Amino acid sequence: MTRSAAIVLILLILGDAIAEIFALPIPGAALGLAALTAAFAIRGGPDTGSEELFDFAAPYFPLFFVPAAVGVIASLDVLAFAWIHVTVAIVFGTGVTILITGLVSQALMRRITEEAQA
Amino acid sequence: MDWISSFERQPLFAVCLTVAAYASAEILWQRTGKPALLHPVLIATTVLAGILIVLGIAYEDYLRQAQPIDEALALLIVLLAVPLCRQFSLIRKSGLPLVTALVVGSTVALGTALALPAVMGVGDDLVATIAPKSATTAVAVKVSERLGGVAGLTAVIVISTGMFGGAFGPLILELGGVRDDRAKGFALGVASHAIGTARAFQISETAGAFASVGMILNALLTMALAPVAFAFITSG
Repeated sequence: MTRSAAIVLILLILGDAIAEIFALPIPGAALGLAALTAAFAIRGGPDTGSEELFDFAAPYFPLFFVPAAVGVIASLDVLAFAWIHVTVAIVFGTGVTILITGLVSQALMRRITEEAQA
Repeated sequence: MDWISSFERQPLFAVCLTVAAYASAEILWQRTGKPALLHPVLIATTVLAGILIVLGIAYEDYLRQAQPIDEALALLIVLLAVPLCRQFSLIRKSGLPLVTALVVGSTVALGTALALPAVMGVGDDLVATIAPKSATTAVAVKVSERLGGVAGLTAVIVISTGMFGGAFGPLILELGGVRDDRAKGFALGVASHAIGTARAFQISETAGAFASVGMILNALLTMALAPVAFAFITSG
């Protein structure tokens, strides 16, 4: 597990440094994720250490969002101005996204089920 | 009240405050039967915001101390490679239909989130703040920061998106005539990340597995698409 933690830390710092050097718009963590996924794909699956590390950390995931979320108090002025955009995005945006994604994937996946049965 | 500042000066003060607030919020959530509206992140955030305001602590000072928790988020994103690889066979089996539905869903998520801001012509920071709303919080916060958005507001929007999807998603799918559990799960995962995925697992194991895939794939695609959508809207 320590070895996996070291690898994850190295990948993250490499990713952040590369994102900074090349001024990429994506977060460095995304590059680290891509590299680790590629490594797992090559070796045919995650190693035990990484699996243990993930399973250990997964239940605490939401805790790690909290410091960023508290930042909303530093942006109450933005919220006061933007609340209508925020509300429309959450209610209308999420509703439409769920409906369209559900209908499209149902239509597309029905086809593969039929092909499998045929 | 000098004794209060003796507490505040301790390097782990903010970490302690955050963990304690979250632990209490989680206990409350579990005791009340895990309702979407009492999501522990939301309660912990509200409580902490209240404490900071009452104690007169600036958010920057709190964040400086709570930095280790915030940084750990990026480590967890890298570790998402583990669940992604676990679902690999499912992704390969459903291949093209799944990827097509993902691209449609992810584009719709970005499009519907940004339609109103684009039409009304708001500031670039607000566009960056709202754009990644359907991605999982860890990813959305980083994308928002990277594009110059207000990360704190993004976090709250993302969690609210999850709560809305978790609470109303199944009803919307029902009314829309989506009967396939795979499609239901996938839609919940794409549109409302971890909270939607948790809800999908209550529908069935299949729905949950497809929701996990939807959540992870949409997080990946959002990291790629959000900067494009952002550039498109802010240049026009």
